[in-house]
Amino acid sequence: MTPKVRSTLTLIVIIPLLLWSMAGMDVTPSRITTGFPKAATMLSDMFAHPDWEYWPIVQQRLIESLQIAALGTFLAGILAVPFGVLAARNLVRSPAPSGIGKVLLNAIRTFPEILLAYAFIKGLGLGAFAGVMAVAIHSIGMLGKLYAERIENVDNGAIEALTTTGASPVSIFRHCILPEVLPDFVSFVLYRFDLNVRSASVIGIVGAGGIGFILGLQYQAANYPRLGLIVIATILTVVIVDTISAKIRQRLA
Amino acid sequence: MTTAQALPKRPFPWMLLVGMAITAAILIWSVQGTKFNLWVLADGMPNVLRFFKGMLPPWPMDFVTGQLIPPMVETIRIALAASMLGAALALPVAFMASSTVAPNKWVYQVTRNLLNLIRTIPDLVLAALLASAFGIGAFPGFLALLVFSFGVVAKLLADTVETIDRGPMDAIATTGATRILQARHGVFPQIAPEFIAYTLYAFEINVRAATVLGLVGAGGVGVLLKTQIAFLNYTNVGIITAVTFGVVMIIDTLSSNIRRRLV
Repeated sequence: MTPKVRSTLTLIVIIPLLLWSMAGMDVTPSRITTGFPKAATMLSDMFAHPDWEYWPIVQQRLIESLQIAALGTFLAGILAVPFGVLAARNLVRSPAPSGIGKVLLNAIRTFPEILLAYAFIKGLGLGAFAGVMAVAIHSIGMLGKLYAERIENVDNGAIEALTTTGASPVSIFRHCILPEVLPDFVSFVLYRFDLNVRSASVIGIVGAGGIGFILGLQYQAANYPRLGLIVIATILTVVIVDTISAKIRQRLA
Repeated sequence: MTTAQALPKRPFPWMLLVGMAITAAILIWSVQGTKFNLWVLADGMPNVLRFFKGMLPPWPMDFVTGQLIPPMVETIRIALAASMLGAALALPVAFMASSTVAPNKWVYQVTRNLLNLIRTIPDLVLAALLASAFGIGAFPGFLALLVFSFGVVAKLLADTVETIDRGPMDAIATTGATRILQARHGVFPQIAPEFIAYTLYAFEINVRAATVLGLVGAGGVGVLLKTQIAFLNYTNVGIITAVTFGVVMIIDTLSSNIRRRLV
């Protein structure tokens, strides 16, 4: 196939796909002509005159978000260890547990965090505690998968040598695997913490505490100067946490 | 303890100790701040589990055919349109954000930082704001994911452009061709497979994101999810979750198969 034919074929696929996907969008000219000025007014309300008097509450809620992320990530970091061990192919000898572990982790990872937040709000009431649990359970999915992959990269010779001495999987994990993988596990947990700072600032929209809670509140009240302050503070927090965490992870590697 | 003496002396792990102390302090502070309490958790667990139990089958199939399919299709459409147009917009910007092709270091720095900034905006927040500017529906959801896809594809592609072989580009430059022509003929052929791969990757993430955007009024299956949660109809919440999971899995599998062949 010459490049010309190939790019023509690509266009034949892409253009109808694009037209189909845009067709249901209901984009009318009036929607655009009123939307953009409205967005511009909103943006200038938000960022030209953020409501600094609202800062004490923003600060309090930001701290709550960080606490949700920290505790949720820590709990997930510990709860994910048995899942990771189960899902790793080289530790538990038969293939069935690894398969089950991987499917389980995949299911946890795909289950929407927002729904977890709703479920825990049902049981624990509105607030940060529900957020901690939603973040913790959701993060097990990704951490367990990363753990399992890391354990699978451990030198199999040492594991087999210990297996022949009759060592139990628990003691193999404790003495042969954990010392080697621990720095990487800590690094994964820190990375997940970055992501959780983001989600802990969003799940509050449905009532699970943190900065998202006042974000939802001020959004409903259409108080843009306050929303502006919330958005700026959230983005700054995310950037600062990302930078610090990247620095620590660099030193761990 | 006698064996320990035979080993070479390790320096006392001060850093580890300090790290553990800081972690412990942060955790205690977080437990207090979030009112984390295992007794409350044990007390509330039955209610949490009731939510999940309510989601389980049997699922009435007429809900799937009657109410679920149209918003699900809308979700896919939003994700598809956003990733295609977002990627198209990202292509020129990716060139500007890579040190190999950028005309000067100012353009490079400004676009790089802009891309980093865009990726920090939570998509749900962006969708909520756009929904109040443009009115609720699929369009604000599409705009939010457009911004997101643009950010992701431009960032990944810029990193790829930095690793290319400069030979073809320099060869074209000697003929006196403009920078745009150099990028079009000297660089683009080298990164075309990655460009498509990143677009597909953005599409995968967009499908997941598009399923929750409806919670803030930005169209798709999330709108239905929100009403079913509000009606406490957990069976339907279960169906929506399961069907979404299936669709995401199918799209992920298809997309990652294509991506593996490309790169």
